[in-house]
Amino acid sequence: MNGGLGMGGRGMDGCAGGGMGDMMEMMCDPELFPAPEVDQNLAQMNHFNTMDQNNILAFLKTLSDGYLD
Amino acid sequence: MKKLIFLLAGFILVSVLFIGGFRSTAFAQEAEKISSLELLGKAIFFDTDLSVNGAQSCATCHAPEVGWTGPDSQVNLGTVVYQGALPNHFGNRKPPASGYAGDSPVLFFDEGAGEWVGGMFWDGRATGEILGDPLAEQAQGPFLNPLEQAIPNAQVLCIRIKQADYAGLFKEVWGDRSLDCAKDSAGVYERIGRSVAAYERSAEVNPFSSKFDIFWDNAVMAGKDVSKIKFSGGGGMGSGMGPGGGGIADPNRWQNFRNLGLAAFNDPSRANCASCHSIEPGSAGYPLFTSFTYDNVGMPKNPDNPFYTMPEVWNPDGADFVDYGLGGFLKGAGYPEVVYQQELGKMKVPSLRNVDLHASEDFVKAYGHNGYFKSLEDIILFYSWRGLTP
Repeated sequence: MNGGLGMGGRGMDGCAGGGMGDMMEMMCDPELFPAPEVDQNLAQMNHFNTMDQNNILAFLKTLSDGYLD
Repeated sequence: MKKLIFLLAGFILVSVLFIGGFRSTAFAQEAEKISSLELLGKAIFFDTDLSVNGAQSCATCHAPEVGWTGPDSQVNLGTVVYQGALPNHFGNRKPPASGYAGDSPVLFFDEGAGEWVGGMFWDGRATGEILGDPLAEQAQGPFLNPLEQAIPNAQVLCIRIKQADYAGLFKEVWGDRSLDCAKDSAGVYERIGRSVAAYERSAEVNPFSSKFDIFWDNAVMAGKDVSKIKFSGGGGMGSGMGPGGGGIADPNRWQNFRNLGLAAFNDPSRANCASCHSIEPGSAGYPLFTSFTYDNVGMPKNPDNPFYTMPEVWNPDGADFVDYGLGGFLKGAGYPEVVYQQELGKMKVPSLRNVDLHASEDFVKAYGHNGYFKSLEDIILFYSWRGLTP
């Protein structure tokens, strides 16, 4: 089972340590996740920092129906 | 002190815009009565008798309490793929959410953007070309899929409907001769798909009743464009608190984490989620958080997918099975190599509505077409990490 990657020992940006900017990015683990199932036609994606990740998570939690119920 | 009072007043005003304010649109939708057609679709959607052994309905894999996707936490944590009506019969993907799906157009190739748009299912195989409605075609599929509800054919499905306590409603909606299983099972099959699609488009399934919708209502009433909420440029934290202009009560200048999240979500120089999970309003006037396009985000294989061990008749490739998504569908549909090669590995961009809706605090949801990820935190981390990989 692959559930629950957990964040212990890593920042939520997938990088070890507490460096900033380029230094932090250089320390990111290229094997944090397994290889893509299909390694072609990969979408280009942006890296975004831990604060953005946390804020996006908080924003996504506002998209649940039932607030008016 | 004056500045503090000003900030406090601004915070209260923004909070009112987000939380309270004008709820007219949402309340109006709540007050709407479900139509007879939608009611019929609902009856079909929740009817377990429309499976070969009475074990499965549409709702078995698309339950309202979790945002119209898989409602079993243990399944989501493990296999992700839901067992069909028959024991040990599994498809190969996670149930996509069936809510907020009605705007997806008939599958087509957008020459200008150079991408496929529309259709239903993760791979777009319910194109909509037959019925002119991908959602209705998608709704037809699971009833006769041997790995799902496993009804042998449309005629048997028709007979099950005829025996149901809502058969009278079916005739009331579609006409006295609309349930002729001997002469018109194909027509009945079409009406079943259209009925379920009507329910899936209803206000009951698409209430637009989230916190975000309240904010959206109030932003619209204030003449603000939520899609324009981005960071103002520059890399420092201090410069990134919203576009310039407007007072602190300006909905374009939110000051809390949710709003910063929306700014990062929108901003092409930050997470840029909105480039695929579009924030442009759909037919109901609210964003659906999908562009109905297809992408290969680089999802890893899910080794727990039970499809890998399905018999050869269902999965000739066994453990070597590769899910090619849209490209696989296009290849199977006879498109030339030059067309399908560019689409291999791409999956439909899902709506993000109810993406975090849980049945309980400890409920596990799975994310990605194969459910590899078990939390929003992990898939968000993955997306960001992908930005660092070639």
